[in-house]
Amino acid sequence: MLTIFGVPAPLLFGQVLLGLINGAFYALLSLGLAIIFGLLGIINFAHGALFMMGAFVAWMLLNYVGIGYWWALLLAPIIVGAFGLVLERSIIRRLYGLDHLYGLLLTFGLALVIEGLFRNQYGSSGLPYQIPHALQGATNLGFMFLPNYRGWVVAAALVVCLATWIVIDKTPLGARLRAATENAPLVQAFGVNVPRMVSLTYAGGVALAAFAGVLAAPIDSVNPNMGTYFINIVFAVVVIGGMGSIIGSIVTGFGLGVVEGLTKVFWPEASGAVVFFVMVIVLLVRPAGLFGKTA
Amino acid sequence: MAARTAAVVLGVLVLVAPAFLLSGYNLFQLTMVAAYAVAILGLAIVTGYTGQVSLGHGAFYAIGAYVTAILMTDFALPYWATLPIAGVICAGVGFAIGFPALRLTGPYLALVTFALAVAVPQMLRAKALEAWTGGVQGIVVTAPDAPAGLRLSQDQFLYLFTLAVALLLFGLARNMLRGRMWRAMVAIRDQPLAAEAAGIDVARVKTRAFAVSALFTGVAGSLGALAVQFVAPDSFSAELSIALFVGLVVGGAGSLPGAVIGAAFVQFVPNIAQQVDKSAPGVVYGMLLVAALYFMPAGVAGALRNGLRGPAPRRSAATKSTTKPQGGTIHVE
Repeated sequence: MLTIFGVPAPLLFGQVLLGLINGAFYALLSLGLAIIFGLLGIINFAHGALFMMGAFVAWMLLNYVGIGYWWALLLAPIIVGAFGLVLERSIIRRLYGLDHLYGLLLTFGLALVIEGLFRNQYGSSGLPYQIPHALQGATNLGFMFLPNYRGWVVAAALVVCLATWIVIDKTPLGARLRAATENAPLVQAFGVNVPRMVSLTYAGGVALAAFAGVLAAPIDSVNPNMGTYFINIVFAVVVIGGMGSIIGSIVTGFGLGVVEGLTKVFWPEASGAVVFFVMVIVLLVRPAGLFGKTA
Repeated sequence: MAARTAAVVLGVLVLVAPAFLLSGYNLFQLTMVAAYAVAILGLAIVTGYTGQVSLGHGAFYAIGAYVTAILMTDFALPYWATLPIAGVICAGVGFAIGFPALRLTGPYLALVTFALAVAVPQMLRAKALEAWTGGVQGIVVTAPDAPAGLRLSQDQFLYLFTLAVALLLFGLARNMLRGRMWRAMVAIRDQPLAAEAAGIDVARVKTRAFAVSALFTGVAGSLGALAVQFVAPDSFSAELSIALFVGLVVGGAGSLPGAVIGAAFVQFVPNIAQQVDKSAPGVVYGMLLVAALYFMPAGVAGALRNGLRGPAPRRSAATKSTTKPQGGTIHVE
């Protein structure tokens, strides 16, 4: 059997693939966080809870309405995004004049409420969600078997991340968005409805989290705690990538997923802490993050 | 002057009275309030006064608790002697963290310190340190007995001891926060550039503030370990750090009485939430937190000072007020 650095190749590739999948979730989540932070200046602690909501909405659509995976992939982000819109309009908006901290604590409180409500209703044992029919099975790549669904998750996440990047970097809408982060009153003076843009941006970031939640539903069981696992690491990803950097979140998300996967192969005990270790090193060398603008 | 002395005597009486009126779990809860108040006081020094946001003070609390536990079990040191050692060690760690923290501001520092809070329990679990930390099992701490001659139960003594240390530290903080150091800290919080121009050594004040802050929170951890009589990695998860921060903001960042109110919130509100709704205490706790921020953005202490002004956000000690969302920057390259 082929071995690389004394490790059987299938094991190595398997962990790299697992890393890529985790990385796909890191990338989608940190991208949403970065966009929200960029315009609203809020560290959205509710992000993990909204990710979990995405998975739950997919499950509800299937079990209560009979709508399957593919439509859920479209509908769940819209539904959860709309929920985010309501949150922003009704509660989060109140704290804009205040320090970042208040937004952070407020969204933390909201996360507790959302997770608690779902735990109350559905327990914490987890609900099953089937892999869609078209993506069952696995493909033989020659050096390893790739479960089709996992390949799909990585591809879908990559496409959505890049699409988001293109929207922000290349379209007039994105240009307004970037302008508003630099100087909101001026952009408003040019006739752009900045408050509406802020609301929609929050909804957009939330929709990305919900999209990730639907992707995750068939991998993890759908349970109220599924967001908490990711969110701590995603915060570290955001810091490493450079807060507010779009491309930074994408690259760092996938990259750290792979690094974590490789650590599981070569030094399993350290795999839980490796992301934080990387973070410390990056901060010592480049305090603004890998892709951050240095002041 | 006489009125003042009377007020102090009355205050001390009110604080000491619970030791003889309450017992068991109720008294233990008050002991924890005193310990948390010291921890939040530490956080207030760095976040409320210097304006450096720390979401990782649970880490200092944990280090203080473990230092006390290890010194008492492995080195057979008396309980009271472990407190200053825990404080000094935490001050050292805080000083070391204060340096890289100089280069970070606002939400950045918040996330980095939060990572510290996530990483510390994992380190405490590590196999390499198991001989010291007891790994996942943790360490059982023997409760101190009251000194011979004092007819007090262990609970009573623990409460009074914690109270005495807390009062001492609050007094220290109050004196410190009246002097040059305090003015320098507030200047740095409000106008960093002007502060520097006025000749304040910003880096020195900030790192010192971090060290002093860590010292307070570390001693609080020691007190907590004595009160709970057990330390384990799971007691010091990232949630503890957030809880301390919640206490700071709910109490009113940058006010000493606020630290006590915040500590009461941290200790009692989760229990109340548990009683209201057993299956989902998080919901009640979260709602109370959201409501507190919504109605009293300046904290309870601030609200008492200003009168309840409803949802209109007011400028509070830890905030710089502007009328637009304080956006960060978004960029693509």
